[in-house]
Amino acid sequence: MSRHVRLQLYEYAAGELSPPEARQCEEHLALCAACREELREMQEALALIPRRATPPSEERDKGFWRSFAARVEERLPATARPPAFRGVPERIASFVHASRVPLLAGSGALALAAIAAIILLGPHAETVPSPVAEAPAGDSAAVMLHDYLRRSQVLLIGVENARAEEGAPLDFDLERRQSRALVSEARVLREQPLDARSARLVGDLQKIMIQLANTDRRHDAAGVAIVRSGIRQNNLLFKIRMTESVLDAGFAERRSP
Amino acid sequence: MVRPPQTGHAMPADEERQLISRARTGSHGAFRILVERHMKHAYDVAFSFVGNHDDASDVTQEAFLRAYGALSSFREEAGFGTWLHRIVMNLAMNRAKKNRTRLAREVDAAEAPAAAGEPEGEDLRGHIERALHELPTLQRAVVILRTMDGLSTKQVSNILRCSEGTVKTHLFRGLRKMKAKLEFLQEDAR
Repeated sequence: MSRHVRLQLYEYAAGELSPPEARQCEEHLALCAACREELREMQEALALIPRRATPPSEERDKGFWRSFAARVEERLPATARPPAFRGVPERIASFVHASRVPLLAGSGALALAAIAAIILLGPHAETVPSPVAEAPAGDSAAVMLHDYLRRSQVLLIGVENARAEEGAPLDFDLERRQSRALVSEARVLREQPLDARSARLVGDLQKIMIQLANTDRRHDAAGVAIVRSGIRQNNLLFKIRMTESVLDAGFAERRSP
Repeated sequence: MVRPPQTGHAMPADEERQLISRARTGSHGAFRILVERHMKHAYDVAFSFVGNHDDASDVTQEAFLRAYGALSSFREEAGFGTWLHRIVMNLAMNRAKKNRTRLAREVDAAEAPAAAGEPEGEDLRGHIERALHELPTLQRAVVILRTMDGLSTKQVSNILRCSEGTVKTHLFRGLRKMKAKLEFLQEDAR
């Protein structure tokens, strides 16, 4: 007689065996009363264990799952952000700190910061001229904001919809350069007299642009996934559209006699 | 429970490794994506052990927080999901044990009469839970993961860090004991 099959009985009863394995099992069962008895007991035991029609997670509503990850994230311990996500001022600050430079003051500090910026930014430094960098504060802030939002929108829609060709990596080189320029503009914008909602939106966009600027040149599927997830979670494209329509309404009101 | 044989949250291994690597350096965004990919399955595993939504939710959240804190010790010998399920299972079993102890104390304190008026379905469910919880730890874990969560023998062996043969042996013995216990409990209740 072939060897007993009792350790395969669950797989057999659950239909998980391959056809040759199942045949082998059946051949043994036809000859072995002990294994047949074991199979009967196994099937009776399984019949007593209730099977749920749907997994328990499906009993929770969509709202529960939408907020679940956010609840976990809120409870994560605050840790230092990874180097790749630091802004330029922080990189300069950490360079100064890591160099154990004593407290600096006045022009010496500025000179060192400038040198550090050149060293750290190196070939990655973008010299894209910013059309808003020299704009005066006040009414022009709305124009600057409108222009910034329009270009951010174009960039984010491009990132959302970019798909690599079969077998080719996604190349975000252009998007990374544009996002760096927008990061610089956001810094200037945040010094302008913006309303609270617009200031929050610029802050959110700045974070996303920093993430995008720091994705690896190629093959960074995880980095792109984080950026896309951030765009969706923060509803950025919707907020941009809303803010733009408020700005447009303001412009139309000022133009009217 | 209806489940596909695999864990059902396929993510390319490279992408998952990149996310883990970023999460290790402090990226909450990367960890959040891992949470979103694994939360439902982790919840189902937790629920199988604790049997109610409040505890399953607490245990699942706690498991992710523990996983985040222990990412530096995750050696990627198994997948992130398997490692996470191990954490979920340990926390859920502890929670289930605490609940049973608390319930036993409450019943003793109240000197509750036998639940003669309970509907039949609730009665059977109670018997099954009791029979399950009286199994030795490993047998209980194997029976739950294999028959109720629908994980494969290989997945269970990875979670419990034992051979597939051991999983099969525990499943066979666990089911046999469960049947005997259920028959005894049902006869006793008549």
